[in-house]
Amino acid sequence: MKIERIRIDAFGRFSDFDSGAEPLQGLNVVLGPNEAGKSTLFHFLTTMMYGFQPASREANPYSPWDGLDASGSLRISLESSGCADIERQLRSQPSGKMTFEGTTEELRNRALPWVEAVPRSVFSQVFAVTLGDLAGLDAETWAGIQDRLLGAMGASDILPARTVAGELEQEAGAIWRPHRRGNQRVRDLQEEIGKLRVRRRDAADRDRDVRHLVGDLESSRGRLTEAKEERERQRVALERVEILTPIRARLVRIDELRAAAGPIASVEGLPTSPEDEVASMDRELARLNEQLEALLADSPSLRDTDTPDDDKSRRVLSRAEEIRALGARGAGSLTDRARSASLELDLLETERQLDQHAATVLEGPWRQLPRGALASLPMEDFRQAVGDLRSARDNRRILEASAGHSSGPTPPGPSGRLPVGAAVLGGTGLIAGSFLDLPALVAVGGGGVALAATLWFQGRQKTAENANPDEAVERAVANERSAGDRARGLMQELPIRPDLLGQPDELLVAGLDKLQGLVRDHERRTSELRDTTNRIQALETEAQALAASLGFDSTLTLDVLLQLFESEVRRAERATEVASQSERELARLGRDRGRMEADIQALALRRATLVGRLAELGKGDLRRGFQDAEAALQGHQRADQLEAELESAHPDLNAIRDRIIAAESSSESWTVTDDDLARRRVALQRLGDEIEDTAARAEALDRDLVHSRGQETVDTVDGEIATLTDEETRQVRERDRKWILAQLLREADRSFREEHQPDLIRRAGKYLSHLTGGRYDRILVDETSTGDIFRVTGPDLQQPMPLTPPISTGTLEQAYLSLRLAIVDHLDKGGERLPLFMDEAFVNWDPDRRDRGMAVLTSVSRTRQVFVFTCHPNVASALGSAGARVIELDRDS
Amino acid sequence: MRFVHVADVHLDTSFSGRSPAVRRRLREASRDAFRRAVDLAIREDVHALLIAGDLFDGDRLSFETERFLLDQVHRLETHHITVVYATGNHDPGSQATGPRQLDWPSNVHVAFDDTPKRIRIDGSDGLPVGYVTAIGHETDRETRDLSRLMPRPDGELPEVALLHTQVHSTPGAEDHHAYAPSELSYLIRAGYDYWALGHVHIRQELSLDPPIVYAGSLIGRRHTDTGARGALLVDVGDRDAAALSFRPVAPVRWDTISVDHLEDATSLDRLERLVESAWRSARDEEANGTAVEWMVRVQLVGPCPLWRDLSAQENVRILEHELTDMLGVLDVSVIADRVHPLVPVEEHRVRGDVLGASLRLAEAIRRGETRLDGLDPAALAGVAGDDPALVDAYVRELLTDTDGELASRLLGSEADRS
Repeated sequence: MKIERIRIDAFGRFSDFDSGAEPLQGLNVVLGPNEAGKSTLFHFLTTMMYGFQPASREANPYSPWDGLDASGSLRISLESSGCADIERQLRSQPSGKMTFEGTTEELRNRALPWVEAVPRSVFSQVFAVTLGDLAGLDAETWAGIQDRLLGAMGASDILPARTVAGELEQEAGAIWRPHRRGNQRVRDLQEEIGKLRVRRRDAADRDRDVRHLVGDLESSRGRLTEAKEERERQRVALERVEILTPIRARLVRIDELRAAAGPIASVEGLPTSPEDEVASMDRELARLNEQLEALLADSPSLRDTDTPDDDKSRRVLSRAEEIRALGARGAGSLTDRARSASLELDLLETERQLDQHAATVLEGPWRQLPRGALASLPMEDFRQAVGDLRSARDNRRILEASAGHSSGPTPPGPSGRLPVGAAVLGGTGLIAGSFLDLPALVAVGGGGVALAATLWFQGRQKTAENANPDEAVERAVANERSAGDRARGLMQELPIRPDLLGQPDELLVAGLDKLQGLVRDHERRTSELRDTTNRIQALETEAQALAASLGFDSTLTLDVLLQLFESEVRRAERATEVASQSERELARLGRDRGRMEADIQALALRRATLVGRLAELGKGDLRRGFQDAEAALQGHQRADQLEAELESAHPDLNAIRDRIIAAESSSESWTVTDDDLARRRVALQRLGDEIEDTAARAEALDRDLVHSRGQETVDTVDGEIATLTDEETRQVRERDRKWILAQLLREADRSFREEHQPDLIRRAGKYLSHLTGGRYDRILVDETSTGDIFRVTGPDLQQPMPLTPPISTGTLEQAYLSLRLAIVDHLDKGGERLPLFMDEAFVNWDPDRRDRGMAVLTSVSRTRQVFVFTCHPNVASALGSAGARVIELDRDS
Repeated sequence: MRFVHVADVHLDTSFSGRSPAVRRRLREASRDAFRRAVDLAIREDVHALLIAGDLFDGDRLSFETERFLLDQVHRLETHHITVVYATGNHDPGSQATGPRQLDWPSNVHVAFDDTPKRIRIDGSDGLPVGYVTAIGHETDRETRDLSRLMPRPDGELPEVALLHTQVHSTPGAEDHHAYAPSELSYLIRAGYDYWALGHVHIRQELSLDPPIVYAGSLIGRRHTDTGARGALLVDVGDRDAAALSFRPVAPVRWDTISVDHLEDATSLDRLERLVESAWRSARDEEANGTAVEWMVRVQLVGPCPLWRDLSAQENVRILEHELTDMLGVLDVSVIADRVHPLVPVEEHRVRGDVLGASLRLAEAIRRGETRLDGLDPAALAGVAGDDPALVDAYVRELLTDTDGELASRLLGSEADRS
């Protein structure tokens, strides 16, 4: 196959690239600097041959960055004849078509039919020899490269088959080996299974044991049942003799007694001693009749009892609540009367004080004061007015004194000590007066304090006032006058003593204040005395009205009336209670009489009935009836007594009676000899012991059985064995699979080498001879060697030389290239020969080697198209001289 | 005559299972299935229960199972239902430890050997409604055609033959030993109105006239025993038109689902969802797939991104555990030995190197075109003997679905990038 024309519409960095109408040569040189797109060109050619990979536009790295679809075409000529035109494009899906011999075929993304023999991955790896392949010989072990060359045919993506086979054999050996050496999973499993088989045998033994135990248990239980039945028989026999026989005898006696006494119905309900009972009834009837008569005799006296039905008592009782309420209020009036007396005394004292204090401030007696004049005096305003007056007066005096010395040096104002002293003295007087209730002292104290304040104030203003003393005095006089007028105005309704009215002061204030308090106190007490007196009088009036309505003497005093009311109420209530008691007693007597009459009647009836039944028993003869009835009753009583004794001694008497009936139905005798009795007792004891032993054995067997059945069973172990056996089977299969895969790999590797190696090595030898100028002319392979399998020979060598370091790197690279060229020949042998790409392969070679390399490539290009990628113009020039077509790329291509 | 036909109960069979609890449940399920068959017989008021061999799985029953079995036949006795039981190769009549050791009640008739037993089946009024003739296996390797020993019936009432046999060419017979082989053509001509057969575990009617029927195993025992299992309710009152109906009684069913197309299973969670989806669609296809517990085997096949994780057994165990919960089944076992990396095998197969050669060689061996040279059978753990045909078949089986692994191993880390 030969590529004749390359056209790239868009692919990676390429756009509108065309190699030209002139067909490409066998040997072509692509010249361009690094990043010019040599690698992209190789991928484009690969894509044209094999299709887009990845096949998605987004994932393909060669989708153009400008958003165009990657596309291009290729024209190839085939060795087999003919030319083909290939076009491919990567839209959202890859598309392609091929025109060959006039026929166009849709390729979609399929590879060309002439390249299918060489997978894409192999083509990419083997048909492109790069500088890295040769340079990498130093880094990669030669042994690995040899394997890759021979086994992988130069491809670098697979591991050596022998290595992989070895790994598989190792994995398989860890699972199972024919011999027993080392750990093997399958043999471990087999050992476990072996142990399980032992456990299975144990489980099978236990299963047998369980069956035996069940057999023994059932046998023991059977014997236990038999022994219990036998013991029951013996027990019944003994019981018959020892227990049932005496009871049976007593039961027989009871039956005899009852039979002799006759039917119980004939005497049922009769007293034990009928004759005594009749006599007793007669006595009781007589006693009841006597009591009835006495009762009837008591009734009239009760009817005569006094009753409180007189009008006076009824009136009193009808108003008892009112009377009690009046009594309660009467008790309260005592307090009112005491309070009234106290108030009268207080009023006298208050009036005395009023007389005394009025004389100090008033011109006349206090009683003549206009009503409310004193009480309406605004005492606080008055006190303030008096205080203002005193201040104005003091100020006037000071100013006057100052005016009198106005030509001389300014008299010193009140020193700081003077107001302080006045304040201290005034305060002390004020406090003491308040505590000692001395108005005068309070007034003095207040004046002191006011003086101190005035002095202090004057001291503060003195300097200002000194400027015009006469005007200040006039203003002070006016102030004093005004203050005095205001104080007197407040007192104008009161007859104040004239001497006090001229210069109202604190003493006047204190006197009026006291007088005002006394007048208020007098008025309050007078009012209270009036209220108390009214209440007492109202109570007396109410009591007298009640007395008159009840018919009592209404002229009596309140206290006497209240006592009378109380005693009358108590008397009326007592009379009512006595009457009520008499009524109840009469009712009771009536009931007793009725009851008594009923008792007498019932008793008489019972007597008649009893006498009738007895007469019937005696067939008309009551005496005989008495005797027959008494005898029958005694017979039944005795039988009942015997039966009660039996029931007391034998609570299960009914069951015993059933057993007696059952025993009577058998033919067993009710009498045995002592020897027989002794034998039966011994047998019973023996059976008891046997039952005890057997039950214990059965219990032990049952325990053993429960224990055994709780143990591991055969089917459980079988399940474990089956599971492990399955796992063993799986492991065995897994082991054999790995082992077979290993053998298959070895077989494939061996066959492959046998098939391909001779031709490949022969060809490689020829290439090597050309590349080394005949120094080495053959490559040999030693498969028995571990590592150095390649050897080279040449005309000048005495013996084959291992192709492995320390042989020169140049020789190694030549040998490697020889093998790669041979592999390429081998891979497409028989088909279309695919192009070979050499990327700077010889750049590190010395000139001689490079010339020989180029000569080899020139030779190869006669049968296989070769593309040499290089950035070295001299290489391109040299190859161009040898006939190569030079395609120049630049970074802007 | 109405009867219930069961076969291959295999009481006390040993189940392989992931946990003791699962194995215990499976053992219980065998007994439950038999109990349900007895319930069916009582509920349907049949005249007889026919057991066509392999009632036991081994030489003997465990004590508990033995008690259970006797309790069940006693239940039938109290309902006046006759039991006819023909021994098979798993419970042959000659062994002292087999069915002979049981203290069967009077309503049970066991054919221990090749002597035909003809049992009259009575109706509730005490009058006969038909006859059952049974022949048993005396040994566990009966090679004779026991059907030839059956007497030719000539009565007026329906006649039923009961036998444990392998009829030639029966589907599924290849899974069983060819004990007591018989010919279908002979059975058809033998004159019986119904052949109640056992041995082949797949339920099937070999002939419609007369009905020659394998009841199939009463309950599945392994993952290949798929499909509903149970008993046949048969009415041969009309000798010319027997009426059969299958009644599933197995409380546990087995199934295997193969899950491929695992390319998207990039996580354990996604893999589980793929399996769940496959399981749900498999169940949706089945009409009555809801009333039983399931033993499920999941066979993972093909390229899977988790192939390396699935090669570790502990990971597979975790997957099994989680799938058991997710699917709501009794147990799940996962077979993951056929998953491999996402390797384009076919592309590699044409390579001209050892990888291509190996893949081509594996394919050739599978096709039987070549063999592995110099393969020593003794080196294989799973082959007994050195029969080349057996060895080759084994090797071919081992190489099934191994191309992916083969390629991935040779590609090494390259496989992960594929």
